[in-house]
Amino acid sequence: MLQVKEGQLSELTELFERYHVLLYNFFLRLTLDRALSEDLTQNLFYRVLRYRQSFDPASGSFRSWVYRMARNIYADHLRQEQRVPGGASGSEEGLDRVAGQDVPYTEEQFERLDAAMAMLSPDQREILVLSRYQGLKYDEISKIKELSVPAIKVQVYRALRKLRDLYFKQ
Amino acid sequence: MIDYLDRAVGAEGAAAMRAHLLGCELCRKEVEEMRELLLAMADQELRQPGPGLRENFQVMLQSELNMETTDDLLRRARGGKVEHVETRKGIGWMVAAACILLVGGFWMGTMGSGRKGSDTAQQLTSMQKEIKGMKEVLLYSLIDDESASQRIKAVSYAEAIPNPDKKVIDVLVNTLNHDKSVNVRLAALYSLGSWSDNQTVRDSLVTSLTGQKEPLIQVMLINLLAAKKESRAIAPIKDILSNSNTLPEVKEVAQRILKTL
Repeated sequence: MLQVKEGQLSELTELFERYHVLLYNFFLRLTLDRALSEDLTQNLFYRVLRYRQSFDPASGSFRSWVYRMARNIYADHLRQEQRVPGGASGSEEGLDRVAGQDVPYTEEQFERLDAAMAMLSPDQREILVLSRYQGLKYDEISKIKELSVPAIKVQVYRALRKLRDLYFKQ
Repeated sequence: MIDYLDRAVGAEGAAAMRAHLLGCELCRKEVEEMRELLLAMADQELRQPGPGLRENFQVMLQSELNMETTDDLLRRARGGKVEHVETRKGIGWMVAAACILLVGGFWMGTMGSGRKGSDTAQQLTSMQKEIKGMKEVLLYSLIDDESASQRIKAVSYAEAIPNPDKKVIDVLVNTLNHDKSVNVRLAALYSLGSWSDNQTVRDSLVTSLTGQKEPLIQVMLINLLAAKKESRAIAPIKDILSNSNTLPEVKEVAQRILKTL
C-alpha cells in the first residue's frame, strides 16, 4: 500500500487481487444484494485510490484502514436508503451456495443461518461479519471500530447469543 | 465461552470449562448450540463477484492514471502553474452529476421492482423517457454557449443519458474534434468513453485520434482505446509515435500502450 501511496498506481491492482473478494463478501453479508455489493466494492477501491495520501502506516495496517473505509461506505449507503422510501435493504436475492465437499450442513441450515443474520440489527450483523466471516482478530476490529478489545468481545458475544436465539427458535 | 469454542483459552481454562460442563446440563446445551452455529458460519464459503467488478476496476484505474498524466502534461504545457482546477472541476462536476443520476436511477429501479405490477412499470418508462428527453434538450441548448464551463455542463448532461442516439453521439464527437477549449474536448471524451462499448462510438474515437494534436486528448484517447482493446487504433497510434511534433510524454504512453494491443 505504501507503494501505491508513493505513486505506483499499478500496485493497486495487486491490492485489488488480494482483497476484493473478501471485501465484496463483507458488503454481501451486510446488504444481501450482489449488484449493490459490487458497486460498493468498486466505490471502496476508488476511495482507496483517491484518498491514498491519507493512509498512515504508523496508525494501523492497511486492513484496518480499508475496513474503516468500507464501514463508512456502508454507512453512507444506509443513510441514502433512509431518504428513499421502499428501499432495497433486506431484499434477499437467492444467494446461491458454493457447495463445499463434505459439507456437514444442509441447505436448510444455511438458509436458517442467513435468515437469522438478516434479522439482527445492522450493528450486530456487522460485528459478526467482521469477526466470524471476515476473520479479523479482536485487536484489528478494535482499531477499526475504535473501541477497546473487551468491549468488542462483549459485542460479539451478545450478537452471537442473539443470533443463536434467532437461529434455533425458527 | 466463545474463546473456549475457538480453542483460545489456555489449558487451565479449558479444563475448568470441561469440568463445569460435566455438571451443568443447561450450559452443555448452550455450548452445543453455539458450536453448531459457529461451525455453520465458518463453513460458508466466500462468494465470487461477477467479472464486471474487475473490469470496472481496471477502467477506473486507467482513467486515474490518465488524470495523473494529463496533470503532468498540463503542468509542463503551462510552464509550472498547474491549471488543473478547471479540468478537475469539469470532471468533478460530471462525476457528481453521474452520482446523482446513479442514485436517482437506483431509486427508480427500486420503485419499479415489480411489486405493484405493470402500471408502475409504465409510469417508470415514461418518466425515464421524459428525463432522457430533458437531458438531450439541455445538451443541445448549452453546447454552443460562449462559456466553456457551460459547454462542459452540457457535455456532462450527455454522459448521463443511458442509451444515447446517434444525434447525441454526433454532437459529442463534433465537440471532441472542434471545440476551441481543450477542457471541453476532454469532457466530451470522458462522456464518449462511458459508451465505448458501442462500436460506432469506438470508430469515431479512432478517427478522432488521427486528427488530434492536443497531447492531453491524445493520451486519453490512446488509453481509452487500449482499455477496450481496439485494434483499429494501432495505425493512428503508430503515426503519433513517428510524428516529430508529438511530445515525448505522449510518445512514451503510445509506446507502452502499443505493447498491450
